[in-house]
Amino acid sequence: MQLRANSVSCRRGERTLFGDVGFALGGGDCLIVRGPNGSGKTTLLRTLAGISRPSTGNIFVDRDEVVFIGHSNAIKDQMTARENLEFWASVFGTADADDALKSFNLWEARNIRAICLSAGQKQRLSLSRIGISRRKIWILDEPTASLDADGSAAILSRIRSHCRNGGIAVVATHHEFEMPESKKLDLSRFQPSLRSGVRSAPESPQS
Amino acid sequence: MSVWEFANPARFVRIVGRILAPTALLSASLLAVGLVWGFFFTPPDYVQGSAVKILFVHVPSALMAINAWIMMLAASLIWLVRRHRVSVLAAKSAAPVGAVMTLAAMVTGGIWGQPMWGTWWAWEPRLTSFLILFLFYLGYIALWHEVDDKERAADLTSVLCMVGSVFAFLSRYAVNFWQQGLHQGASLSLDRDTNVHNAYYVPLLLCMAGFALLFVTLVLLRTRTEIRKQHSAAIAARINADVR
Amino acid sequence: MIALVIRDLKLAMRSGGGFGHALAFFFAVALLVPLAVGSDSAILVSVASGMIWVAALLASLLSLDRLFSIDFEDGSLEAIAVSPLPLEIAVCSKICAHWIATGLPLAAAAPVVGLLLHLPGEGYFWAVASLLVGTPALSALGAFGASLTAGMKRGGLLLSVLVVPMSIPTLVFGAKSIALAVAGASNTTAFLLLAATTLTAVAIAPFAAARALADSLR
Repeated sequence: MQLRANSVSCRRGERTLFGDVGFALGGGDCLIVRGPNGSGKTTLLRTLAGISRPSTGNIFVDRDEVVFIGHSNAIKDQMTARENLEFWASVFGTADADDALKSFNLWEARNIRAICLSAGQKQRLSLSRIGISRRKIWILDEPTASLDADGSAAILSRIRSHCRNGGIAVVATHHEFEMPESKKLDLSRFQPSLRSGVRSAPESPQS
Repeated sequence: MSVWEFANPARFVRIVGRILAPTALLSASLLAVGLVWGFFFTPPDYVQGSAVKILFVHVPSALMAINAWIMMLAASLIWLVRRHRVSVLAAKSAAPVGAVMTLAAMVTGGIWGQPMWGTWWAWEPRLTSFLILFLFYLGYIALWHEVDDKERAADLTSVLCMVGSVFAFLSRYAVNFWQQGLHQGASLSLDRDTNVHNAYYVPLLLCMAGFALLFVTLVLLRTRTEIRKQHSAAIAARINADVR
Repeated sequence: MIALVIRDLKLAMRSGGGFGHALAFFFAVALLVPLAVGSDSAILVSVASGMIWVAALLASLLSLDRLFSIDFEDGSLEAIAVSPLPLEIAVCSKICAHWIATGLPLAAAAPVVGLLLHLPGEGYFWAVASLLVGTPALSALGAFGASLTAGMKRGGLLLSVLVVPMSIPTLVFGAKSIALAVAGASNTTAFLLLAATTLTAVAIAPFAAARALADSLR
């Protein structure tokens, strides 16, 4: 199992967001993607997940192992938490809806319509798709958004144990992530240097 | 030289710069000769009088209205398969020209129909098909307008052009079927083969060639404009980013 | 696939009148016709078969606007794109759900509208039959149109401009199926052509729409 990016660059309209991003992740690796607003974190993650196509470069990944949790939570307000998850369980062909509800601390709220859930509960509901999918490559965009300290710590330890068990995780975040063993990728260093028309030298992510 | 050499935007612009003036000139002279010959130096039809002479505009514009769509279909297909930017920009440029040709065919049809059929507009299968084709052109142009991202607009309009072609084709047969049932269309339909007098043949051919070249000229010109617009947008984006 | 159909139907019911709106619009148009052309029975009879189809087309069109754009905005589409469910199959499910929520009720309500428009007795069976066979094409073409406008803030009007021309064959063959039966002529050809148009639309639309959705997500 691997997730490899080979001198990937992405554009939004006429603007090049970043160029020449390259890294290789194997089982057990966690990559933290950082960068200011507009540096292309979401675009990079969507590209890794196969939703977007890179303008140049290649991505090597087993698409059947990828699960992607984006900014938009893919939750239907008119359905209960449990119904939402049961839908995704049948899409992924698993029957883990109840387990996921319990492990993401949503069991009490299972029969509440999603519109009545708090922002933090919704975020946990959205994240519980990673449990349901049973997939090994997690691509998470701001997983701690609108979570309280406990919730953030819980998702953090979940990511950590996932990697310890041989999984791969790519996480974009603004917040300090207490994960010393993770690799880091700072997108602000991959901004194209415009004046000269030459991109800044590629740097491999440091461990 | 391979056809795909045109796919390079810079080379395309260079080639267009060289051939634009000759094609424009040739088109203008063909049209001038064909139309003057057709309007003033052919005998009036013994049934329709001189009203028939509008066919020198009507027939070529109708022909190009359909050919423009076929050209757009081919160009869209090339974009989807080989992703040559010039190709999809050519399709984009051809759409308004094709729409105007369709409109011209309908208007001249109406002007012709007024003295012949006693009405400006008849729900005759051919005219109706052109109205439908016009709607397809409008939809295609509108979709280009509505999508901001250039790449996405190119993809979406190309898919629309391909699916639209299937249903435009079906509509043609549907409309034939529809008319047939409502009333016998013989009195209203014009069978052009029997109408075209030998004396009209050569000037009509000249007009057709003139319209075809006019179409080519306009599409080349508009495609070049589109390429330059994209270049300037790219430069503007770079300057903006620099300032930032 | 069935899960998606069930989810969509559930959402249609819970968001209030997913089934009802199209049906209500169908009747509203049927009400407008006599008010516009007059209540003279002879006139109504001559336009009834066509107006049933025009009303059905408009009602089906009306409910398309949000077919993909809600899923596009809330991230469901993006999540489906990274799931074992191919987008083509997702589009098929959407078409099924839309047809069950609009086409089916329209076909069921056709006799009542026929009655209001003084449709002669021979027409009732064919009104229901032609709507049953023809409306899947409207759902399929509508799904294609909706996929093209999914990423837009206000795609409703453009959607109609795109879908109406493509629906012309269905409208012509559908209305003809009723009109010929009413006139006492054989409508077999019209009805078979209607079925053929539906098959064409249903065969093409999922692939074209999936392609368009993937482009819009990118």
